[in-house]
Parts: sequence; C-alpha cells; structure tokens
Amino acid sequence: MRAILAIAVFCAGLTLSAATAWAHHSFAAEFDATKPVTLTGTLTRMEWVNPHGWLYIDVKEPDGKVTNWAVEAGAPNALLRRGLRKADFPIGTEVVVTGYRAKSGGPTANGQNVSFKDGRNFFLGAADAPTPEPK
Amino acid sequence: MRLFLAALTLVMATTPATAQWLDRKTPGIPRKADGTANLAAPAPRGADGKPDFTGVWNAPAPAARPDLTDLQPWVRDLAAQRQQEYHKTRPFYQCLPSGPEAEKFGGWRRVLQTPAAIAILTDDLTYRMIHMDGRKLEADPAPSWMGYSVGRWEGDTLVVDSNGFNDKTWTSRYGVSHTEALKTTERYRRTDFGHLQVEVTYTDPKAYTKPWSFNVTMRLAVDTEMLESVCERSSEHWEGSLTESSKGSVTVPPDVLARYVGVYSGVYGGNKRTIDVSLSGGQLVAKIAGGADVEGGLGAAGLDTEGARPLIPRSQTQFEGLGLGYEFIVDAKGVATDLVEIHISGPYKFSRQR
Repeated sequence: MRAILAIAVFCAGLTLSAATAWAHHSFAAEFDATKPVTLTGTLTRMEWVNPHGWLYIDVKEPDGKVTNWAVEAGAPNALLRRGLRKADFPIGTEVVVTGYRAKSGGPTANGQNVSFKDGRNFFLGAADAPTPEPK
Repeated sequence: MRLFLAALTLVMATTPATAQWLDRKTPGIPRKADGTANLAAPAPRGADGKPDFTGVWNAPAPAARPDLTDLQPWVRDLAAQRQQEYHKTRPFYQCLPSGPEAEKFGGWRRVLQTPAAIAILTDDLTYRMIHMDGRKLEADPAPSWMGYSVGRWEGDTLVVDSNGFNDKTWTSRYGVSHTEALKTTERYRRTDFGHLQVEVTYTDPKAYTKPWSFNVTMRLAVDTEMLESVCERSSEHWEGSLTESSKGSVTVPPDVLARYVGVYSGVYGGNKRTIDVSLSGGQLVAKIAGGADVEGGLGAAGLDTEGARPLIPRSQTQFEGLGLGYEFIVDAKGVATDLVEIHISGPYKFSRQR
C-alpha cells in the first residue's frame, strides 16, 4: 500500500508540472473529508467537461437497490493529452472509486482514486499541463 | 529511482499511440540534432523586422499577490469576505470570462501576430485583440469583459495598454477587485525562441493606493496543440464558509495533537511543498512554505502568504484547513508519519521530516 501511494505521489509529480493553470478549487466547498466512501459499480455515463470531468456509476446497495452516483474527477484535457478518448471508457465498465462524499449528502462524491477493475487508473492528479521543462 | 521508473511505466502504459494532433510536430521551428525543439535559439522575427510572438504558449499560474498596503480598505475587506466563502464568486468559478485576472496569464494561449494587430486566443474561448495600427485608447470606453488594447514596440519589447474593463472581474484569484477605472500595461519580451517574458501592471486609483504588478514567463508549447477548456459547472452549489467550518469541531486531546506537530514535505504542482504543523493556543496550525502560489485550493489561503491556517479537527486524525482536507497517518504509537492533503484532484502525501 505504501508503495502504491508512493507511486501515486510520483505520478502526480510527473503529471502536474508547474506550467499549468488548472482549475482546482476548494475541496471543502463541496466535499466532506470525514465521509470517505468506496464505490464499486458500472459506468453509465462520462461527462468530459471542464474544469473537472464527471463519471456516473450504478452502485448496487446491499439491499439490491441500485443508486446512480456522480463522481467528480480530474481534468478531461489531461486524459486527451495522454491519448485517451471516449472509447477508452466504455459504458458498463466496472469502476472502483475511493473518495469523499459531498457535503450535500446526496449520491455525489469526489474521486480521489478512480480505477478500472483491471487496475488502470487514468485520473490520478489529472491536470491539463504539457510535459515539464527539463531542469 | 525504481519507483520513479515504475511510475513512468505506469503513465506510459496507459498512453495509446493514437494521440492525433496533440503529438503533431510543430513545423518551422529550430531543432537540435536529436529532433527536439531548440528553445534557446534566437527569437524569430516577422517581415517587419519585429519579434514574432505567433505560436502556442503555456505558462505557470503566476504568483500575483499585491501587498495589502497597495489596496484600498474596501478592496481588502471584500477580498477577506470572498476568502470566507472559498472564492465562490470568482468569475472563473462562475463560468464567466476572467477578463484581466492575473491567473489567466498562466495556462494555454495561441498568439497570432500581424503588423496591424495581435490576437490572443485562450482555451476558455475568450480572445483579445491588440491593435498595432497606431490607434489610441478611447477616453470613455464602453465597459467590456476583456477590455480594449493597443500595442506599440519599444525596441524589441511589445508594450500593451488596455482599458475599458467592466468591474465584474477580479485582478487576482485571491478576491482582489478593480473598478471600471482599471488600466493595465503589459510588457512582452521574447528572450529566445522558447520563452516569452511578461510583466503586467494594474493601475486603478479607485481601488489601489498604488499600481501593482507581477511577472510570468510563458513557454512555447511545441509539438502539441491547445485544447479548448470551457467551464460548464459553475460554483453555484458550493456550500459553507470558513467561519462555519471552524464551528462544531470535535475535540482532540492535547497529547494527541502534540504527536502531529512536525515538518512535512512532498511535491505539489511540480513544486516542493513544506507544511509546518505547530500548536498555537491549543489548536493545530499549518504554515505552507514553497509552492504556496501554485493553485490548488490554496486560493483560500488568501492574500496573507505568511498566515497560518488553523487545522480544525473533524476526527482524531482528520482535519480541515482553509478549504482542504488534511489527514495524519500515524504509527502504532499514534505519532504522525505522514500528512495527506486532500484536493479535488486527489490525495497528496507529505512525509514527516522532523
């Protein structure tokens, strides 16, 4: 777990060059850091909107009820810069999200980590930045 | 190093070969023997002999914080009030044009230059026209979002004067207002092929006690393209305020808080960031050193860079501070080993140094 986190931090460092003007805003204006949530479900829709993309996933509750969760993720332009396209996120794909619930209490969350069942994680530290200038 | 390679492999592995125009080679630029762009080559010139700024540029978000003493009291008060509400009303967060806001000198832009006019196109679909035909700024222009601009050459430096801004935009993301009396002066110098230095000065006697300015160096973005980035989700639904978030906090015993006191460091936004956590009046406070000007919820730190942010307990290990989440990772004895800063884009881990 430690190693994974270390890699995560490294990736973030790689991706987030200083040469960017990404649109981050206050986490606390929308989400509650004391309400961590892990969601496993299937992708129903993906919105490639700025400044943050949104994924919608159907999550089956223990009682069998299905809830459609909205998950805020990274900048879609960062995905495009990595050569990813809509076709890389087929509807019905199984997705695992760890993050925090919205202050509103509804089925909305911030995706701190969004990965596919096969382990691929496209959203990590996503910002629309070119590769950093060599130092 | 191994982790670095592992991380690199992870990034590479998720990059398909089809990247369309984003990896198309920019034509007509000087290249080194290995094919990479020679950004240190001399700046190009147009047919008129003037430096030519045409190209796609990218810049880091500039560090634009006026001295509090440069601001009239009403501007200071309004900035403090806006900080309280997480800068929810910032035009950019409301999906409105950013006008002359300093931060928009960072990010992506495409410059198209002709002898008569220079166009600056930005990824939020706003544009500016800098007229080079000798016209003068009007004395009483109709207020607009992006203002009116005229340029002239002083040697190889392009000097741009602008006025005619409405008073709905900000000059800094830290909530700094301006009035319709605002005038800006930009000085652009392409020091070599790959770099464009800009100095921007804001003059507004109705808002500032004296002009204030910032610098930013744009870098030529080669072998890639600018992508549009249109804001579609406004800040309308944001909730709460800093004052509110400091109320109703849970209680953490002093001996537990003491185990979190320390210096943590890591990387955020490509810059090293150090977080100094200390106890003040029985409360944990964090001071950020380095990388503090990189955007990322840090706008909530406001204009006072030296200010310590109180960490309000939400549980025994979780805290909230100026708009971000904080979680201490502890060892078996409850002593903090790491501090995780929680942003919308994900967690950023800072390891304890002492």
